[in-house]
Order: sequence, then structure tokens, then C-alpha cells
Amino acid sequence: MNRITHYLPLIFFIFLIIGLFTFLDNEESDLRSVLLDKNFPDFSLSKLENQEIVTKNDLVELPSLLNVWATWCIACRVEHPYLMRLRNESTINIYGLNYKDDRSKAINLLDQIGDPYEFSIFDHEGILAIDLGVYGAPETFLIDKSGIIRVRHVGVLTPEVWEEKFNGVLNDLKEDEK
Amino acid sequence: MHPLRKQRLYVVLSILLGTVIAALLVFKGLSENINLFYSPSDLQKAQINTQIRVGGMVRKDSIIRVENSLRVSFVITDFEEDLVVNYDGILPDLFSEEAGIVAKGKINEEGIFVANEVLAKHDENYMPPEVAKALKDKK
Amino acid sequence: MIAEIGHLLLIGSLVVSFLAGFSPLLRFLTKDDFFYEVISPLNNLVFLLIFLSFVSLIYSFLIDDFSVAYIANNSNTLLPVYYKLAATWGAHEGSLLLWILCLCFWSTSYFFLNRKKDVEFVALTLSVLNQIIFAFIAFTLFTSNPFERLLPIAPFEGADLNPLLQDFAFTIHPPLLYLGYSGLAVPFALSLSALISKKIDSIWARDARLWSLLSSGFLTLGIALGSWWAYYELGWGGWWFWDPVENAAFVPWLISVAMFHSLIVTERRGLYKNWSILLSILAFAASILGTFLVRSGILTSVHAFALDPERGVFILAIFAYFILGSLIFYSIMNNKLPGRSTYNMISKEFGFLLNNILLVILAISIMFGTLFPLIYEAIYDGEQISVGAPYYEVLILPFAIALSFLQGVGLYLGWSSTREFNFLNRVLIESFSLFIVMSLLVFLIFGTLNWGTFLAIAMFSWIFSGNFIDMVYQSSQVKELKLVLLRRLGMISAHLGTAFLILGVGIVTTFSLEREVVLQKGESYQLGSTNFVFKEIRESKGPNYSVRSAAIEIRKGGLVDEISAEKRNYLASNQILTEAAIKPTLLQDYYVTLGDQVGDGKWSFKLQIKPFIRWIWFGAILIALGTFVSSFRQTKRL
Repeated sequence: MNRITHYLPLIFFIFLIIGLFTFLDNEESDLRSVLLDKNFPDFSLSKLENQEIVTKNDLVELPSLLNVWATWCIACRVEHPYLMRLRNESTINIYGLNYKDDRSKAINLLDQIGDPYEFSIFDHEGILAIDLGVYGAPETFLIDKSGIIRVRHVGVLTPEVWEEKFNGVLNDLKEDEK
Repeated sequence: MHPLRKQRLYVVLSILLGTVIAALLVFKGLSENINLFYSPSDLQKAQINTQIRVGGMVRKDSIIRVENSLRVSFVITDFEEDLVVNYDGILPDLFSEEAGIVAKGKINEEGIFVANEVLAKHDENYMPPEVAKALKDKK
Repeated sequence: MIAEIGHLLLIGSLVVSFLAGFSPLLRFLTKDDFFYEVISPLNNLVFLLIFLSFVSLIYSFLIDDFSVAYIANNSNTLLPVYYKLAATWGAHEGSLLLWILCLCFWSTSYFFLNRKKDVEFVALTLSVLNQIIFAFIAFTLFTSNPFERLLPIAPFEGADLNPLLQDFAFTIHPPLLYLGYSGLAVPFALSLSALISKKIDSIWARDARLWSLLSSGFLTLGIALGSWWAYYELGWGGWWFWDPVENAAFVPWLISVAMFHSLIVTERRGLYKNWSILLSILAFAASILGTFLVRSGILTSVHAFALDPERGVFILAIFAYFILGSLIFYSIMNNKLPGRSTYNMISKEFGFLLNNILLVILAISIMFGTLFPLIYEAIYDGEQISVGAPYYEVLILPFAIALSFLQGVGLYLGWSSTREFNFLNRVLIESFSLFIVMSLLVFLIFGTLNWGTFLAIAMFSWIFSGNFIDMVYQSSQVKELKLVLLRRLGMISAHLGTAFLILGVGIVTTFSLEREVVLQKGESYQLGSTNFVFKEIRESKGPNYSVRSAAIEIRKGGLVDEISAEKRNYLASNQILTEAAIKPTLLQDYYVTLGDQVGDGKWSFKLQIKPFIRWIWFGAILIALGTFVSSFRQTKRL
């Protein structure tokens, strides 16, 4: 009797840990699988700068980044200098997704601090954002030549994140092209 | 019975009793207090007049306040179905058009959701993950 | 530059703690006692390195070094200096460093208090503690480094510290709580040492009890502060929400209480060694599990930290290593534990046993409720549920009643058996008298009574009588009384604290009043016997926010006072925060929240009266005080 009771807590915790691991695993794959290796969704929205309607077909400079941003998003300001640097130094193109924002405020902000985007999509209602599974800002996606989403990063884009998550994939894509 | 055995029996019995009571309380409590979460288009599955939670995005221009009172009604959507929500009370700071919110309450016979609590806990432009997930699943 | 130093110091501490943590292995292999003796200086070095690392993080905050990602995300040039300091632990990465610092503080304190004791025992304990420290430093460095740079591009301005955290109570809440959480590592380490060196005796129990008391005391303060903060900051008048993060602190607290009670029996009678060891493992497990729940993102909660399953895996691995590891030691190494003694059912021993059982079952049930949404989601594929407050409220009531009963009679039970039962009569009469008096008072104040209040008053009276009134009654002289009280001061304070807490909870739950109203300027509303008058709206400015406030006059009986309910707009993040207006008095709090403008000159308000709510935190402070007094007395016996 005593022997068994000594081992009971151990057994209980083994099960608990296995359960939690499994759950975490599901969570991780859930988060990742959201849109990876799927086609970029269709949309029909206006550009930020004017009323011109753009669709998925207007995202021509591929592979490219799509960066979700807004004037109310302070963390976006933190990553902004790096986006400017990316635009200037590398050959990657960046499209912006202006998320649930005020049009004139957004245009003013870009005037003030600089515009790293080829153009920004004005997604006032967040419709395209929903399709992309966007939780908030900032988020950055990598879209390949065929319009497939390869990388998704939630949070500020930093040189480290670029190295870890984006650069490798980008180089692979370039290799595949050859 | 040997006094030691007797005593141990008491111990075992009291542990068992305690566990059984706890288990009963747990199940009783849980069955009455699991609040299921629905998005507007899931609502056919929900029972009317039962306490549930709903979530979605507040539709632009849908917020109607009754003058000089705390009664307000608005529409939430998951881009497939809409749901009218009635609420009598002070709305949280982060409640606004196009915000993702969660509300607790009941569906009445007319299909209107009567909320007794409205939750908007995060930044107004941050969608609660449950809502985002539910909305995503619609596509 | 300073951030780099901080980073290097952290790496250094990783190495040193690893050495300290695994040195016993070398001792085992070489049989050279040097590998035991070297652990203490290594341990102290770790503390120094971590302390300096922490200081460099603080310094970087104070000089607005936004090239560090963590600082850019959590601070701002407009932020007042004291909040820049607090921002150090305002988010995940920095708070981890604080947690580690707290643990280092405990391990070094342990060293100082025990440096003249058995070398092997101290060495083993310190090595376990350093393994834990190592694990957490590794976690920090590899997944959550606060010193990471954004270089070479540094923003000129940072994001802001979340306005909800820009508050005094919330800035000292994490340090207190982390002292509690990390402190539970010490009894855990002591148990492992005892198991390995086969020295599970009253000396070990005496030591373990000291550290359990200390951790428990800090947890009490941390939880109470969190509750008080939620009350005045979140604007709803609530003080406990059974939120996963709250439960994550409450569960280890319950187990720590069981632990330091169980250790009394182990110290005095050599019994319940298994219980005490298991409780120490369980308490530490609950502490890490809490950390896991809050930081892995698997539970949505009002204040969950980082939604990152990858971090969750790391913490879970740490959890598995320490808990499974210790349980394996426990299962294998304790089969020859002596200490069998017979005791009656009416005895202190049995009372403490019941206490252990009740507290552990309650703790597990609360943890179960917290984890249930996960289990449900896993079984019913993606369907999301939440477990509401009523579950916990129904659950805790019978346990509270049973535990209160034990608290009232515990003192009078005898070791092994109880010979004299006169105490029952006395305590019954005393508590009944107190019950009548309190009920009358409550009736006078509130004009009504109900079953809930009766229950709360009954529990209060019972505990009060058993832990104080009877003592006074029994002592024939003042001198004798003084001695008795002093000897048991810690226990009396803590138990009385629970009595006040129960009373406060009971009364505020049954007698709270609340109303949401629309008021015109100059209009008033009568809630209960109090008149609330809306006088006017004012606009003003704070250091990093603008304010719109409503001046409310409160009139009750002879009391007339003005309070101001605010809505603040924090400039950096454009977030709006409601600051409730609270007027505290001895018997109740008047609580007003400003809503929106609903018409011309008309505003919505939520008016509340919360009777006896302060008694809850007063009770909690008494508990913490009692716990600390007891730990102080415990050190005298070392």
C-alpha cells in the first residue's frame, strides 16, 4: 500500500505534463498553420494615398513583405526605422497594410517619418486583416513570387527577427529561382 | 481492530470523503458555470434564455444610444452573420466601433442578445484571440 | 554599452550557477569535499552578478536607452522617473530578471543563516537552488533576453508603459509576489537535500518551516496588493475575479499554508514527513505552473504576459525536470522513513492532517477549474469555454467553513489525545456571545440580516473566540496573559486576520449596493442612505496624460465630502483609462466611476457602496504580519 502511494504523485504529474505538452503543441501548430503556405487572400480595397482600388493582382513586386501598421500602434514606430533601412538597403519590396486607421492621420504620419512602402492598402474595417488572421499591429508577412505566404511574424520586426525568420527563407526562394 | 489500523482507516475515509465532496462540488459548479462561446453565425446551436458568451466585431455606425439613459444597442458581426446586442449599463473604456468585443448574456425569443456584461479588455484595436479565431474559422 | 555589460553579467551568472548547481556531481565522483565547499562562494557570486545585471537594466531605463528593444517597448521619455524604474519589471523579459534576483536573494540569505551548519546539507540545498537559478537564466537568455538591441537603428521615442501599470501598488506588487513564488524554492531544495542525505528530521523541519513561512508571508502581501490594485484601478469595484493569473498565486499560497502547518507536526512529533516533503514539492510545482500559465499564452486572461507557445515549452521542460526529478527521488529514497506514532482522532495531529487534506483538495480543485477550459477545448476540438466565478464561490465555501472550525479549536486539542473538553463549552459560549453582539451591530448598521451574513459572522466569532477571547478569559493575571499572547503572537495575528477577512468577504458580498445612473449637473441620486451629488466636470493635465474629471459630493448623515472620478487620456499611447473615485471609511467604501456623456450635460455614472471591504485587506495584512512574526520566532530556534 505504502509503496504505491509513494509513486502516485509522480504518475499524476507525468500525466499532467504530457497533457500540457500536447496542448502547447496544438497551440503552436494552430498559430503557425493559420495561413502559411497558403495563397494570399483576395481583396478589393483602396490605396491609402488615394481612392484607387487595388486587388491582389496589384501586388506585383514579389517576393515582398506585407507590413501591418497604424498611427495608433506605437510599437510600429519602434520598427519603422528598420523598415526604412530594409527598403533602402535590400532589394525586398514592402507593401503596407494600414489597419483600422484614420486616412489623413496615416498619410500625415508617413509624410513626417518617411514612407518605406511601395504603397499602403487602406483597410479601415480590417477585412483583409481578418482574412490574414491578423490580431493587431505590427505584423509582417513574407509573400513569395507565386503569391503564397511563407512567413508570418507577430510583433516588432528587428534585425534579429529578420535574420531568424525571414532572411533564410528569402535566400531559399532566390535559390529556387535559379 | 488494531488501533493503528483503525486510525489509518479514518484517515483514508476522510480523504475519500473530502475528495468525493470536492468532486461533487466541482461537477455541480462546472455544469452550471461553463459559459460557451459563440460567434454570430454559430448561434443556431445556442439555447435561448441560457447564459452564454458571444463575440464579434462591432459594426460601424451600428451603436444606438437611448438619449438620457444607459440603454444602448449595437450590432456585432463575424462577416457572415450579424447579431443585435442590447445592453443597459456603462460600456467599458475600450468599447468602440470596429473593436472586437465579447459579451455575456442571453438570447431572447426575438433573437436579440441581451447582454449583462460587455468585455473589451485589450487595446481597442487588438482583437481578443477567441474572436479572431472564430472570425478566421468563418473564411 | 551598459546594456552589453548587463548582458555579459547575465551570461556569466549562467555559467557560475551551472557550476554551483552541478558541483555535487563532481563531489559524488571524486569524493573531494572541495566540491561541496566551493558551492557557497559560487552561489554568492551568482547573486552579485545578477544584482549588477539588474542594476544595468535599471540604469538603461533611466537614461532612456531606446536602442534596447525591451526598453523601447515599455518606456517613454515622458514617463515619470519612478515608473521608468518600475518599467524594468513591467513586462515579461524584465520581470523574469526580477524573479531570478529574488531567488538569488533567498539562496544567499539561506547561506548566511546556515553557514555554520552541516556542510553537505547546505551544499546540496544551495546546489538545487542554483540549478533552478540556472534554468531560469537559461530561459531568459535564450527566449526572453531583456538586453536585446534594436541596433543599429534606435527609435527616438519609446512606446509607453501600459497605463494600467503606471501605479504605485502595481509597481511593488511583482517584487512582493516574486519573493513569495521564488521563496518556495527553498523548502523544495531543503526537501531534496533531506531526501538525498537521508536527514529528514526535526532540524530539517525547523529550517523548512522558516522558509515556508517567509514565502507564504510575501505571497499573502503580493496577492492582497494585487486585489487592492484591481479594486481601485479596474473601475468595476471588484476585488477578486478568479482570473487564471490570480488563481496561479492563490494555489501556491494555499499549499504553503498547509506546508508550514504540517511542518509543525514534523518538527514536534516527527510525523507527516511524507506530507511535508510532498507539500514542499507541490508548492514549488504550483509556483512554476503558475509562471507557465501566465507566460505561455495558453490561457487568455486580463493580464497574461506573452502569447508564445515556444516559451511555454521551455517552462514546461523546466517544470518537468524539477518536479519529476524530485518526485523520483521521493519515490525511491523515502521508504525507510521512521516516525510512526499513534494518535487519537481528537488530537492536534489529526487536526493538522485534516488541515493538510482540506487545503490540498481545495488547491487542486481551483487548479482544475483554471485548467478546465484547456481540457475542454482539447476534447471538444476548439470549442471555447470559460469557467465562471460561481464555480469557485460554491467550491470554496464548505472548505472555508471546515477550516474555520479547525482554526477555532486547534489550540485546545492535545498532542496524541485530548483529555480535557471544557474548552468546547467555553469557546461555544464566547463565540455565541460575540455572534449576538456582531449580529446586532450589523443589523444596526445595515438594517437587515441574511443567511450569508450569519454564516460570515459565525465563522468570525468562532475563530475570534478560539484564538483570542478564550486566552484572555483563561489567564488569571495580566502578566500571564502577556506571556501567552507573546508566545503565540504570530498565530493569533494570522488567525484573527483570516477572521476579519472572512467577515469582510461575507459582508461585502451580501450588502454591496450598486447602480448605474445618468445624472445632470447638479442632480443627485440616493443609494441606500447615501446621497451622491454630481457637481461639475473639470479638465486638467497630469504628467503624461490629460484628464476629464467629475466632482461628486457624498452626503451621509453628518459626513459631507467631495471626490473626483476621472477619465485619463494617456498621450503616448492614446489610451483612455478610468480612475474610480473612492472614499474609504471604516465601515464602507463609497465608489464612483465616470461613464460617458449620454446627453447634453448628462453623464453616466456607476455608484457603489462597498461595506467592510477594507477589512478584507486589513485581514490579509494581519495574516502576513502574523506569518512574518512566526518566521522571526522560528529564526530564534535555529
